[in-house]
Amino acid sequence: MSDTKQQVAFFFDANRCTGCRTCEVACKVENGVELGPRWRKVRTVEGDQDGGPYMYHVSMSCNHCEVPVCAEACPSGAITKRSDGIVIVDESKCIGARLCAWACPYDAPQFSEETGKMEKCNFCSHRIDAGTGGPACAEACPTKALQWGTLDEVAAKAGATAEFGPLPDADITKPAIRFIPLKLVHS
Amino acid sequence: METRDWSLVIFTVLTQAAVGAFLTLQVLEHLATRRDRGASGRATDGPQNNSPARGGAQADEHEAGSARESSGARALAARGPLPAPLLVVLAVLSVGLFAALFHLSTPLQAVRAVVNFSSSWLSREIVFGSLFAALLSALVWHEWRTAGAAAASPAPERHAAGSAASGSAPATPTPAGQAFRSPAPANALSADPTSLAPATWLPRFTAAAGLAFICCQIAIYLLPAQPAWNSFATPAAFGGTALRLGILGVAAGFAVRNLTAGVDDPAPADPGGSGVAPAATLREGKVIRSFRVSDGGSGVAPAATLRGLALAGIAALALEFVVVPLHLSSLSANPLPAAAASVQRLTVDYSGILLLRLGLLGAAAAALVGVLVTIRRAAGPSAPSPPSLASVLTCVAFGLTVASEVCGRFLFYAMQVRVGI
Repeated sequence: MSDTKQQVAFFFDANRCTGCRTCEVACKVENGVELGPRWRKVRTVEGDQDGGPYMYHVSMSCNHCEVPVCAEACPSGAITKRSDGIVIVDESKCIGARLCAWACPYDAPQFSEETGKMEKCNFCSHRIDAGTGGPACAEACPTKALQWGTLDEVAAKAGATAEFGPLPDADITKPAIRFIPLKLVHS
Repeated sequence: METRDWSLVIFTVLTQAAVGAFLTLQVLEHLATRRDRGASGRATDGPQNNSPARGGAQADEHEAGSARESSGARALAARGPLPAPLLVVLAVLSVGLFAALFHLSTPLQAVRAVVNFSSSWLSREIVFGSLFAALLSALVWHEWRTAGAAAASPAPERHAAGSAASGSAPATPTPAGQAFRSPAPANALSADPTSLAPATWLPRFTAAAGLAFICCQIAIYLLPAQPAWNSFATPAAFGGTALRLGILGVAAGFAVRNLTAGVDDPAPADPGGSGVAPAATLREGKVIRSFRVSDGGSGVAPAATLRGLALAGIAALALEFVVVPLHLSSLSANPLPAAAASVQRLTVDYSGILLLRLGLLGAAAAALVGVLVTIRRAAGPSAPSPPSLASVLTCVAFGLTVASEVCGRFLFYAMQVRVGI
C-alpha cells in the first residue's frame, strides 16, 4: 500500500454539482474513450427525507482505492497500484475474465467490446507524470464540485467525509475520494 | 445474465459434478473395501458370493506387486480394462474446464490466468482445477496400467491365492478369479497410510486437489460488492451441486451399467478370456474401475449400493429446499438496496425459473423415492441386482437434477446485483 501522503485522491462536493457532465466529456476526450465504456459517470440520486424531496448528482470514476480489490481479484496481474496510489490496467496483460468488474463496488472497471479488454480511469497519469496537470475531469469542472489532490489534502477540507449516502461502505476498499454530502434545506 | 456467463454455468456445474463424483466413488470404494476386509476369512456361499474376499486385500496387494514386477512390458501390451468411471469423470471435468475458456475475451491468453496466484482466487481456482485434472489423469493411467499388469500375470498363481483368501472359491476360472485378477484399486480413504505406492497417495492428492478446487471456486464469489453472492448460499450452492450431481451421477453410472449388462460385458473386463458370464461379472470388480461393487462375500449386493446412493441423493436434494428459503430471508433482512434487488430478481423477474428449479429437484427426489420403493418391492436390498425400473428411475432422477442444477446456476449469475449506485 502506498504512503497516504502521496496517495492521489478525488474530492466531490454534492452541493456544487449541477449534473452538467462536463467531467464525463473531458474524460472521454482526454483519454479517447470509445462509445460504450464510461470511465467517469454522473449519476442522479433522488429521494425524500425530512418532509421534502431531494435530488443531487454524483460524479464518480475509479476511486484508486487504498485496498484495490480489483487488482486482488484480477487473475492475470493486469491491474497494479502505483507508488502514488493510481490504480492502472495494463491492457496487454488483461485476458478479459472481468473478475475486477465483479469485485469493484463502484462499477469502475469498464469492459470494451471493441478491444475485449477491461479499461478504467487512470487518473490521467500521463498528465501527472508529465507535470502538465491533474485529471482532465476535475480540471474541466465548471463549479469545482470535482477536485483532486493528495488524500491528505482532500481529507482535510472542511466537512469532508469518506462515507457518502448511497455509496458502499468505505471500509470495503478504502476509496481515495472524499465527499461533502448534500445539505438539505427545506423551507 | 450475459450470454458469456453461460460458459460459467457449464464450467461450474460440470467441474463440481466431476469433483463430487470422484469423491463419491472414493467413498464407495472405501466402504466396499472395508466391507470386504470385514468379510475376509469368512466362508462364503450363494450364487453371488463366489468372489474371493478382498482381504483378500493384503494378498491382493501382494499379488498386485508381484504381478507388476513380473510382467513388465507385458503389462502395457495386455491393456487391462479402462477405468470407465474415472474416465467419465475426467471427460466431464475436461469439458467443464474447456467451457471456462469461453468466459475470457481472449481465450488464447488463458495461461496468464495463473499469474496472480498470490492474491486472486481465480488464479488459484485454475491452478487447483488443472492439478485435479492432472492427478485424475495420472490415476486413470495408474489404474489402467495396474489392471493390465494384473491381467498379464500368470493366472494359476492368482487363482490359488484367491482360493486361499476366500476359503471356498471355485477351483476353475470364475467371476471370482476375474475380480481377483485386478490389484487393489486406488482409494483415498482405505489404502494403507504407510504405503508409498501410488495407489495410496495418488487418490488422496487427487481428492485434496478437487476439494481445494471447489473451495477456490466458492471464494471467488465471496465479494463484499455482491451481497447475493457474499453469503453462506455460495458454498451451499457449489457444495450442493457437487453432492447432488456427484452422488446421482455415480448412481446413474451404476444404473446404466445394470441396464446395459450383457451389452458391453465381459469383453472389456475380461482380457484374460476366462469367459465370465455377464450377469455374474456385473456383481464383481471395483467401483472406480467399472461402476461395480464387489459383494466381497458379505452378501451385500448392488441393489444396496443403489439404495444407499438414492438415500444420500434425497438428502442432498433436500438440502436445497433449506438453502433457498434461508438465502431469500437473509437477503430480505439485508438493508442494502442491492440485496433487495437480488430478491426481486429471484422472486419476481426469474420466479418461473426458481420454481422450475425447485420443481425439478422435487421430481428428482420423487424418482429416488420410487427407486427405494422398487428395490424394496422387488427383493429388498439383499437382491443381487436392482430391478430395471429402479435403474431407469435413477437415470431419470439424475437427468432431472442436471436440468435443475443448470437452472440453479443460471439464477446464481442472474441474481447478481452490485452494491452502490
